[in-house]
Amino acid sequence: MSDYILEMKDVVFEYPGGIRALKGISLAIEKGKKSVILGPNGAGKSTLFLHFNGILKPKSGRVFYQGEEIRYSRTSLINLRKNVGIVFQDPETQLFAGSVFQEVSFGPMNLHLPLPEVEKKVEESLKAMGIEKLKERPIHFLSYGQKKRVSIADVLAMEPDVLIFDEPTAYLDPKHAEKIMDILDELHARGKQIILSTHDVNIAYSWADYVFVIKDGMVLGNGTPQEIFQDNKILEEADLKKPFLLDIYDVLREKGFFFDRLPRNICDLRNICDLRRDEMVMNSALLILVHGSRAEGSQKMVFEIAEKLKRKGEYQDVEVAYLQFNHPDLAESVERLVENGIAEIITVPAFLFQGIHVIKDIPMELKKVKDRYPKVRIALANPIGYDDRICDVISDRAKGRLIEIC
Amino acid sequence: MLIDNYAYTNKLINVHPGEKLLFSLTSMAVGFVPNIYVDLVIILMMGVVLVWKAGIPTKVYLKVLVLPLSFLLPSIFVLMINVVSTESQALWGFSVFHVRVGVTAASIKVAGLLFLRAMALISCLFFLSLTTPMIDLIMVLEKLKVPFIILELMQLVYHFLFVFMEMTYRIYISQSSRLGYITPKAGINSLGRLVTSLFIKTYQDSESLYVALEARGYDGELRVLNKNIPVSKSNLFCILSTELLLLLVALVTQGGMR
Repeated sequence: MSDYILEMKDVVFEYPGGIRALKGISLAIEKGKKSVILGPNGAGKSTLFLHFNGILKPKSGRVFYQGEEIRYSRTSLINLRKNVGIVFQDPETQLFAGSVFQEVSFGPMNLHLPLPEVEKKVEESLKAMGIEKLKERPIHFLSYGQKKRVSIADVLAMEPDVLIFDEPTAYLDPKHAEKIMDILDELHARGKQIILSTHDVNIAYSWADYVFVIKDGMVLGNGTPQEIFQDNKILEEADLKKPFLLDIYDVLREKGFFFDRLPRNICDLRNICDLRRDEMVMNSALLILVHGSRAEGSQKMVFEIAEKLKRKGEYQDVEVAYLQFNHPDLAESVERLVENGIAEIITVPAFLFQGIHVIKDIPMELKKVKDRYPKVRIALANPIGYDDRICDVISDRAKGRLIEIC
Repeated sequence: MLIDNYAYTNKLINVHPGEKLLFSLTSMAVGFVPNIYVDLVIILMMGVVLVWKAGIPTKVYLKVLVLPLSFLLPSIFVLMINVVSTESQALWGFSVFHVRVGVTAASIKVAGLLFLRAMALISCLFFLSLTTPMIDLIMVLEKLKVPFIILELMQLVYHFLFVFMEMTYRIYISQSSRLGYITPKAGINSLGRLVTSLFIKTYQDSESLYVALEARGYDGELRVLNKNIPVSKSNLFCILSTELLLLLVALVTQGGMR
C-alpha cells in the first residue's frame, strides 16, 4: 500500500477555450495528514480538486488514489466518488432537493443501498453536523450557515474516506467559521482524510499538518506550515501574507521573549510564554530599591507591596533596600546585594508614597552595576501616586514588559 | 411565497399528503354538482378546516381568497349581460344599435352559480396548497406513477424558483441602489439587464450544480429518499363521510335553483 492517499503526477488541464488551469502539477497527499492547498484566487485549487474525484480528466499526466491510477470507467468512477467526497464552496449550487432529508439522501441513493440503510446514513450524518432538527425543513428556508452544514452532511452521508473542502469558511462569520473548523477536526479525529483549499493563511497555518502552495496552476512549494510560512520568498511569490500569529511571534521575539519553537495557535503562544515566566520565577529574586529617607509611612507601604508581590508568586523572594541614589557608594552597595542572588532591580522613589514625585532616569551609578552584571535587569517604576495597581506596575517593569533600561 | 410558508408551518403538515390530495380532489368533484348550497357548504367547510384544523390565520386566508376575485368578478359581470328578446324579461337594460342588451333573472342565476362554483373549487385548491408542501405533493405523485422526468422537473423548478427569486431580488437591490429605476426609461433598461444576467446566472448555476451532482455519483436520475407518513384510516373515513354528506346536501336541496 502506498503512503499517499492521493497523488498527482505532471497533471496538465485545459478548460475549453485553451485556458490552461493546471500546468504540470505534481503533488502527493500523505495519509492521515491534515492537508491544505493554499493559493490566491484563481490559482487552480478548485480545478485541482475536481481531478481528485474524476470529474475532470487531465489532458496529460496521471492521478492516483490509494496508489492506484484512476481509470475513467463508470464503475471505477462510482467507486472513486464514493470514497472521495467534495464539499463545494457555495452550498447554493450544490443543493437541489426540496427538503434537507431528501437532499442528504441523494448521495447514498446513488450508491444503490437498501432504503433502510440510506435512512440510517442520512440520520447519522445529520446528527454529526448537528442539524437533525432541520430534517424536514425545506432548503430555501435555511440560513447560509445551515446550508453549509447540509452540504457537508450531503457528502458525509456517502461515508467517504477522503473529504475535500473547497474554501469551507468562505462567507461565514467568525463564529460559524470556527465551528466548521471544529467539525473538520472532529472528522479528522474519526479517521477521515481531510483536504481543504483556502487563501486564508491564518487557517492554513494553525490547522494544517502539511501545506501545498499553489499559484497559476503550479506548485510553488510544500512543507509543514512552520517551513512554508517562514519562507518569505514563497509567500511573496504566491501573493500570500504571513499569518498574524507569526507577526505577533516576531514582535515578541524582538521584545526579548524566547521561544524554543513556533507557536501553532494563540493558546500555544500563551503556553510557550508561560514556560518562560516559569523559568523566571524559579531563578529570580526582586529587589525594590527605594530612593529617599526611611519615613514611617513610606516604609509600611513599601513592605506591604513587597508582601503582595511575594504572594503573587512571581518571584522567589522580594527584598527591599533604602539607598540615597546620589550617594557615591551606591553601586558598591547594590552590587553586594546582587551577589546574594538578585536577578531584577526595580527603583522606586520614596516620595512616591507621599505625593507626586518622579525620578527621571535610573541613576548612572546603577548603570555601572548593569555593566558588571549584564544578566541583572534594572527597571524604573514611576507610577504616579500609590494605589492597588502599583504591584502590577512594579512586576511588569521588572519583567521588562513595559520598558527595560540599560 | 406566503402560501409556501404556510404549507410548511400549518398544523396539518404531518397528515399524509395523499389524504389531503384526496380530500381536495373529491371535494372538487362534488363541487361540480350544480347546486349552490353544496358550493356554499364547500366554501364554508374549507374555510373552517383551514382556520381551525390547519391553524391558518383567518386574515391570511381571506387575503388569499381575494386574489382570484380580480379575474373572477369581471368574467362574472360579462356573463350577467345578455341579449334579451323582449323588454319584459330584462330587469335592467339598454339598447345598442336596435339590439336590446340587459340583465335577466336567469343570467344572474347562471352567473351566481358559476361564481360560487368557481370559489368552491378554488377554495379546495387553496386547501391543498396551504396545507401540503410541494415536496410532499411530488412524493404522492411519484406513488401515483407519474413519469419520473416530470417529477424531477417539478422538483428542480420548485427549488430554483426560490434560488432565482433571491437572485432577482439581489440584482434588483443592487440596481436600484445605483438609481437603476429612477425613471421609467432607466427602469426598462435595468429590467432588461436584470433578465439578461439572470439568464447567464441560470446557465452558470446549472453547470456548477451538474458538477456538484456528479461528484455525488449522479447518473441521470435524481433519486432521493422520501419520508414515510402512515396513512390514517380514520382520516380516510372522515373524508369519505364528509363527501357523502355533501352529496346528501345536494340531494335534499334538489339543485337549489328555485
